Amino acid sequence: MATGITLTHPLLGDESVHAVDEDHAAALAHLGWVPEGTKAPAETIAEIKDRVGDDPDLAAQALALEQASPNPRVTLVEHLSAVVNPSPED
Amino acid sequence: MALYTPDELERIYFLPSAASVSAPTVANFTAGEDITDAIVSMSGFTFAANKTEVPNLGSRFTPSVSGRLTAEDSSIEFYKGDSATDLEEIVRVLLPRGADGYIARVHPKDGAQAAIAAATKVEMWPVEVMSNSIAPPVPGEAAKFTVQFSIPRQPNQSATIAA
Repeated sequence: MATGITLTHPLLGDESVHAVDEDHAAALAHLGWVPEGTKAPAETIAEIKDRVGDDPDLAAQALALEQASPNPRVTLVEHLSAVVNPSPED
Repeated sequence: MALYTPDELERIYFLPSAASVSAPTVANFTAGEDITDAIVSMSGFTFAANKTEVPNLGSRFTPSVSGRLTAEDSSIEFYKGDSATDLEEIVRVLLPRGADGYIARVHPKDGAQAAIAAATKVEMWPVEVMSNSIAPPVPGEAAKFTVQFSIPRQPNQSATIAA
C-alpha cells in the first residue's frame, strides 16, 4: 500500500523502499535511505567522527557506508576500524 | 546449554527492505533499525496451524492431516519518546500505517547476543503496518504506542544472514 516517495540506500544496490509520506521518508533518511536519483550528502570526516564517537555499532554502520562509497577515505576507514575493533591497550 | 530470558539477549530489528526473506544481508541490517530498546512487549509473530479432518467409513476414529498455516495477529507495543531524536519517536515515525518491511528477530547464540554477521540465524517476518496508535494517557505510566502488523507473505523462521 505504501506509495509516494521511492528511496534507495547506498549499500543496497537495486533495493528500494516506498515512503508513505515525507515524515516517513525523513525517518528512513535517518537510516541512510535517500530519494531515488539523488546522492546522499557526504559528511566530513570530522562530522562522522563526532557523530560516531566511541559507539562500535555506529562505527560499524559508518564503516560499511564508507567502504561502499566509490572512494573510501583511508584515514576515516582506519579510525572507524579502530572503534569497531579496539586494540587491547585502548 | 541453559534456559534464558530474552532480556539483553534477543534483538529485534525493523528492516525496510531485504535481499530475500531467507537470506537478508548484513547491509540490510545496516540500513535497518534496532528497535529492541523501544519495545514494551510483542505479541503474535507465531504460526497457527489448522488441521483438516479426513474421516472415512472404515473407522470410528477421525484422522486428521495438517491444514492451512496462518500467522497469529501480530503487534508490538512501544514506549513513546517526547523528542524527535529519541529512538522511540524515530521508530514511531518509521512505522506509519501502510509502511512495509520486515521484523527480524535475532535469537541469542551461546549465551550472548548473536552478531549481525554472515551465517547468523534470524527469523524474518514480512510486515505491513495496519495501524499505529498512541495509547490514551494513564497517570503515572510511561506513554506508549502500539503498531499492528499484517503478515503479507510467508515468514522464514530459519533465515540466514548473508554477507
